[in-house]
Amino acid sequence: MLRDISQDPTTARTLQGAGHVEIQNISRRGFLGVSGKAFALALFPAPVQAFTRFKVRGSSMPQGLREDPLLFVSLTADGLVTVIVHRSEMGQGIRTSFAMVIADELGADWTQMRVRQAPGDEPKYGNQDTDGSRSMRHHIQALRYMGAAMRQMLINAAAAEWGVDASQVSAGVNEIKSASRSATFGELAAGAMQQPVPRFEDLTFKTEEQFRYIGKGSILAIDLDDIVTGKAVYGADVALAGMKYAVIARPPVIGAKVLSYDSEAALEVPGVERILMIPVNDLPIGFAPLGGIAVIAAHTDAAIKGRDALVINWGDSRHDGYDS
Amino acid sequence: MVKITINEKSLDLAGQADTNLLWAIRDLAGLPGTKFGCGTGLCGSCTVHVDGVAVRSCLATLEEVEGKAVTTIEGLSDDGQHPLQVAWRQLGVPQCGYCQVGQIMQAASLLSENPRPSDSEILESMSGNICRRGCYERIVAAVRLASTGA
Ligand code: FES
Ligand code: FES
Repeated sequence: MLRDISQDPTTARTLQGAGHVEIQNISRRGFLGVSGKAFALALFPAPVQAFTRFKVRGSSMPQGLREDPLLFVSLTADGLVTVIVHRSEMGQGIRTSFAMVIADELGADWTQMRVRQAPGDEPKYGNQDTDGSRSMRHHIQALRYMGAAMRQMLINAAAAEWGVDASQVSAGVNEIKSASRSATFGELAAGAMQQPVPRFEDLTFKTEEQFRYIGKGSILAIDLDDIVTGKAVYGADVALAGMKYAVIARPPVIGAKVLSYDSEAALEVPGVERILMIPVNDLPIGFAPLGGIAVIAAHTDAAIKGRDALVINWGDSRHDGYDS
Repeated sequence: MVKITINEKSLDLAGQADTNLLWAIRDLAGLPGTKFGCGTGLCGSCTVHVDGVAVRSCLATLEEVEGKAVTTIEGLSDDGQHPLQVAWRQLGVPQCGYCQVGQIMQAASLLSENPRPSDSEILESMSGNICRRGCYERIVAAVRLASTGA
């Protein structure tokens, strides 16, 4: 995975507390040069007394950053809290971490939390690049906002239902209560999802001491059960109706183009259905497709055998002289 | 069509005698729990049982398992409570999880042959299963936990 640290120095952030600490643009390399005092402050920041908006680098990434609770979080009558995760899980635990932040800020118990993977749809979900170790840095504020907003929407729904002012209603773990009544998140879910979404400025946020999950090291991967039973779905496991499988014969040296090819033997492999040429782009390839010849088949093994049966006459590449 | 038995079910698969077992399991039988890592017997992520013994499915063909019982992770335990799965959960072994199905199938084969393996026997049996994320210490600890309860 490509990690471009230079493009993403640690997000400028403001921590409010006893004293006012501002840490700006500390890249991993630049960090070494920071004075001893600033270093100590960075390691031991004053406790966050209040949660105030800070500038998030993610908002300037292509397609930006969304923070709509109705898009990312849903509460249902069965008491479950489902979080849509729009970044890719690679073992870094992002599906678990997103759910932890929502659980803490909302006040849900971990057993209520579920995650669903978003499809690739950046206009809808915002930037989905999962690189640079920054999904959490870029999203913790949005996640806390969405969790706190949902908590307030539950409070507002209860206040409306009970005919009292929202200030008379408070939230606990999976519980919304007034002096005389209480209800679970599930009981209020439908009403809460209909409430107007509160603004960031009008919300109260949890303090660090109130977190039950963030930073406690007590939560195991939310996908653990699926992983050990083989039910976890990885990219290659997705099966769609009528789906075919393809394997691509790549240039032996980057940049080499197909001069000619013979697909007769490949097409005779049982299960092989079509052969397609994917143009090889000019160097430098950058992020463009590598190109080659694709064998499309009823299953992967047929596609592999078909590829092995292709006879391809590759042209020269200016990288021919290099050896790995 | 080739008839083989996977997880105690007899299946007619739309493959050939020489169709690779891993891809038959994934694409033809629709059991994607078994993973492709290298396709050449080097990583162990494709491990299944053939008549109870760990086999790299990427190196086997349908013809080689005809008349034998193939077990994949989906068939290891009805309720997902095989002692190894319990231990794996308890110790939170996986990171991404991609190698873990193969790890569990390899370990299950070891424990059925040798219910109380020593640490060096665990290491020896598991040494062909590669984890990109280096969960090895927890893997060994979980195999030990499943075999001894500690
Ligand atoms: S995929 Fe079979 S050993 Fe790697
Ligand atoms: S947990 Fe990801 S490869 Fe082992």
